[in-house]
Amino acid sequence: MFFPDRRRVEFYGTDTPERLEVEVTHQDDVWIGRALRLSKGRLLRAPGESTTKPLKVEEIVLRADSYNQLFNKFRKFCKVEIGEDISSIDSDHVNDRVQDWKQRIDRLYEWISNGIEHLYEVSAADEVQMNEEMMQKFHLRPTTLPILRVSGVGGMLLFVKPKGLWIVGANGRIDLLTSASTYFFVDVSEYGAASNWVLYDSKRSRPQPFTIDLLKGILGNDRI
Amino acid sequence: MTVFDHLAKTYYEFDQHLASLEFEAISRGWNRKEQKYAQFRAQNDQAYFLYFFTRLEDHITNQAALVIDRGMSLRSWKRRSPWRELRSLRTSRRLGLMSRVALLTEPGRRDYSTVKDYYEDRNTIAHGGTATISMPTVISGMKRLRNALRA
Repeated sequence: MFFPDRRRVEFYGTDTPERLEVEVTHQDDVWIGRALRLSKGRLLRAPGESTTKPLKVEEIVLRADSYNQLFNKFRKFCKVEIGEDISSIDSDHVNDRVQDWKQRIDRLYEWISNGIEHLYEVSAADEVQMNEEMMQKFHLRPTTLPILRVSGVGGMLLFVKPKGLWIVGANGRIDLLTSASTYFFVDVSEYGAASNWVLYDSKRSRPQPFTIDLLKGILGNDRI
Repeated sequence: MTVFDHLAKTYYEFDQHLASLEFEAISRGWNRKEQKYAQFRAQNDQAYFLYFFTRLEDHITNQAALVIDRGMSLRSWKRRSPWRELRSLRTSRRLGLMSRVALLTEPGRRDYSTVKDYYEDRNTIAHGGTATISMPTVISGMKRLRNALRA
């Protein structure tokens, strides 16, 4: 069979936009497929490994004795491992997501505290229980998340309260509650990437990037 | 003002009312009331998500019908012929939602996938499940889809 030394093959997710580009080479009777790029989603597990963790695309290299065998290996790999299809999720993965969520919350709170603690009293004395459907499904124990309390002279000003990780439309939602208004922190990043928090309020249809100045403005407007 | 703008306005008004009750409960340390109002807000999110989805569904049905009508008005019989099969299904439930979406955008593209995701969430909620929703992103997503999915 004629086959060039090097060619690119694309694998598509079933009825989804995920697309994995693979470079196939043929050397010394061994067929080698090296993943180049994933259009969307993420790779969760290296072939043959049981632990799930975000994986770099370039780490995926498969070998086979024939082109057909290599093609089938990649096809099977794409079917099972790309995206967040329920079949590829296990309790390790769910636990990783929960830990990642906790870290993102801690980082956000730290950032807020560093930005305003010279002006307001900032504490994380209250807690909210996290026991989402995915955690129940994989028999993970409920856990608690801190609620950030920002108070100033004259009374309570603001609470920052985590609402959910597995949510429709984003990679986590945290509410910012004041006595007069509600704001929505939404992480629009993909899992595995750096957080990208944006802030929505009921008066604007477009989100604003979250900055300390924006928070100071909210606190100023809602002062009791 | 579109139907989505109108719905968004009422959603935010109700949510703000419940959020101020939740705020008061947290600030006074009333844990059970805090949980109650947080749950009310979550249920309100789900109800409005379904409400928004019905309006998006209606928009998709209307726009897909226009595409079929346009196909039926082609002069060439050869080009008009494939559309004849769809004519009887214009507003029939036998033509599924995602098939209608496929008349408006290419399967696999971003808009198609977003509707599919929303549709799955809609089915989860409608059949007794629950979902936590980021309504601001859903509202802006629905508005974008309404503009993007046109005949």
